[in-house]
Amino acid sequence: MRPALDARQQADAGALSSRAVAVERLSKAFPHGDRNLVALQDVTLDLQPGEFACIVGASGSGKSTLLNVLAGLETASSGRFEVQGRVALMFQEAALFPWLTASQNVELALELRGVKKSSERRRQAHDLLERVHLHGFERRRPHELSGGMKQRVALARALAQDADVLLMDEPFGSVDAITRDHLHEELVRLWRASSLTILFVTHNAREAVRLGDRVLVFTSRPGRVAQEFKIDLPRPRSLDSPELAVMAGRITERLKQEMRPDGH
Amino acid sequence: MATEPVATEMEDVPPETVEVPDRPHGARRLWSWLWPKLAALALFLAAWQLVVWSGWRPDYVLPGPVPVFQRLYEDLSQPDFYVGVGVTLRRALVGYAIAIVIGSVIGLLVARVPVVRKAVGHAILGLQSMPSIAWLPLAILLFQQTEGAILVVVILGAAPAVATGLLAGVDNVQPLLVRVGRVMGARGLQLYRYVILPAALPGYVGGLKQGWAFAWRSLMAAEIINIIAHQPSIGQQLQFAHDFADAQQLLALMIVIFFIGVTVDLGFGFADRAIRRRRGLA
Repeated sequence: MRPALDARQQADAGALSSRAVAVERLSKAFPHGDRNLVALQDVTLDLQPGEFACIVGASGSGKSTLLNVLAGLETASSGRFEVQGRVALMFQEAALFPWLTASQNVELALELRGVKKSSERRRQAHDLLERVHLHGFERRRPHELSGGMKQRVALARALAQDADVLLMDEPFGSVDAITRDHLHEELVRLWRASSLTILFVTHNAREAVRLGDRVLVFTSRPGRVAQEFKIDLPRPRSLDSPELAVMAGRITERLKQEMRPDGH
Repeated sequence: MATEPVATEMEDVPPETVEVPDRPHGARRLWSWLWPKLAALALFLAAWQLVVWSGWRPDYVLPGPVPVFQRLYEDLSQPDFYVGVGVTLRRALVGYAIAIVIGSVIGLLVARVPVVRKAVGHAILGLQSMPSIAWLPLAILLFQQTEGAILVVVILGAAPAVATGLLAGVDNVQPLLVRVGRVMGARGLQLYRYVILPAALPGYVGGLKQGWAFAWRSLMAAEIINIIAHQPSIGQQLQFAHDFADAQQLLALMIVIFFIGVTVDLGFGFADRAIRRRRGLA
């Protein structure tokens, strides 16, 4: 799906480990009044290239902070991390630019990535929107699209960045259940057809089991990896399958243990 | 009902075929837009005429609408009248254009450089609330009785509003959009060009609109006071009409001033609505 490694990636390949994402004892604290609020404490995790990993945690467990640090939007207080190649980040809101059409939103990502010719950008945007099943909606503006369609455009825009690692911060949290199921299917289809590494954050254990090769349970305040679950269920998976429900139940149990008795 | 049918179904039913209740269009839309304004105008003219009939002031001080509009009609056939309108509009456009450039540069600097914001952020707001005509005596000292003095007043009237509008637009950009821009790889000026400035456009247009209103007001005040020989501007003609106690001419000119102001304001209104509609804000 992606063209051969470009020069930059080849240069990086030697220097970095074989892991797509490597996080080592990463901590992040925010000043809060006269003390520090520790959002992340000693988070350590690895992602293999092409892996689909999910982080499950209660709200306020620092999951989003971790993604923001990995995407370079925030700096870590201590610890190390390495991300191999380009990073894209999808938010809970589609956050499309409202003054641009669906196609132009994707084209802007291509332009910032360095695709010089506008005709080439248009062609690629057209292809990307087709890949997320939005053929014929290129000229719609964001307010003319449904919530699920906006997230598809956001996905196409993230793909346009030609990222090696896609970070997703509860991207389907605000769409209805049926739409979410479609989006899950398409995300898995796109992931399997590519060599993308995905780190997907959610508070929904079923969603995590539905999507991930691996599910990491996060503790709350400060956020830390409490336990790791390997998900060996065959794909394609269905949200309604009993095996998935059992697995999700186990993860939810673990999550409940992690939430403080007085917790929020 | 699923809020989002699967893609193949979407393709089967192109959205264009969905029936939308008819939006009134063409003549009917124009009429529904126009008639309340015409009604208000008719009411105003009637009230004016009633005041004149009441004999509150003599005819030569407060003429009725009929002689005033007759006078306006005569004015409109005089070449001198258009020379005056031309002079005034030229000053308005030149002053306003300079104000846009200065206001935009200052607005951007304040938005982008924290120390500039701390230094002059409040001063700009203060300047905006200061009647710009208060600058005229100083401007006349500096530039004598020239067009330069008038332009200074117009610029000082309009530029703070333009700067404030741009600043408000930039400050109100959703932080999430800026983060998206950064994730997409935009840095520094690129972030401004592709994300922040387009997102700030509605606020900027609001500032431009207000800036025009200030420019037009300041210009009229400055023209009435600072009369330049051989430059028959609207403000000057207004002052002359007063000097010659020509109330008909005075009122006819006021109608012209009102008409120009409203016309430009309408243009801004259309631009503002078009931008908002494109973004789904209206």
